[in-house]
Amino acid sequence: MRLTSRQVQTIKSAVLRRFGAGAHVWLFGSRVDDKRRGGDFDLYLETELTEPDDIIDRKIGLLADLHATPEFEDEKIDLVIRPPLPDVELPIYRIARTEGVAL
Amino acid sequence: MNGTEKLQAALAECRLHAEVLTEALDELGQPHFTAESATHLTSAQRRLLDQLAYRFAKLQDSMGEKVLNQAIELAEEPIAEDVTFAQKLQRLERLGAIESAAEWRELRELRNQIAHEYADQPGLRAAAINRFVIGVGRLIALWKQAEAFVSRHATP
Repeated sequence: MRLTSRQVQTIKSAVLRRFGAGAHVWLFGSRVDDKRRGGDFDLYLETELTEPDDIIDRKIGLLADLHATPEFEDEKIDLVIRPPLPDVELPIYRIARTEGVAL
Repeated sequence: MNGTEKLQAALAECRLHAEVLTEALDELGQPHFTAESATHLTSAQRRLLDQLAYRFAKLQDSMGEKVLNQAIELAEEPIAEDVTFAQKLQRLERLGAIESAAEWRELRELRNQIAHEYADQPGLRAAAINRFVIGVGRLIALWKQAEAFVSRHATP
């Protein structure tokens, strides 16, 4: 995984602040592969929250928090959020969970 | 083109973006989109949202690159060359050129969310559009504050 320990801590504390202790976050995509270089940060987050307006507000706040840190300033972050909707199972959810790294 | 002329040109450009945003927002009528209505946007709504997204990005970029940098100089604040944009935003907030550095950063994220498709998540798609429409109004308000600040300090 190509994340520094400081980047991991930054992500975890921002997720905790914005989404609470019930949220879980994974890194997936090219940053999981140690042999590659550069690339976007693909994050996958599972939340217990269900209200779409609330989720979008928190998502925007989380991305703004991350981009305000020296670790992620000017970095492209793609954040996929999965609310607890049992009938929605997108392929990207499965890929993120099976090929990603839990932070 | 000297510094003053460049600033005047940048202000005129931003005014135009803000004007088009205001018109498009009026035309859209600020509806509250639902999962259903966000999935079945009318062609007029889609056109207006595209226009809003385009002008929103242009206004924020032009403000950030051409106006806010000048605002710090106009306030005669000494600023190091290697200062980051995040640090400049904090300075601008303290000077009163923008209301909130945090809000500026959130508006920046909104731009990307409006382009995000949210395939098979119509509820989130609707929420992202609604949040963006609110954000358009907030960006216009930020612009007006910055414009007033620059006008105040640029006048001898």
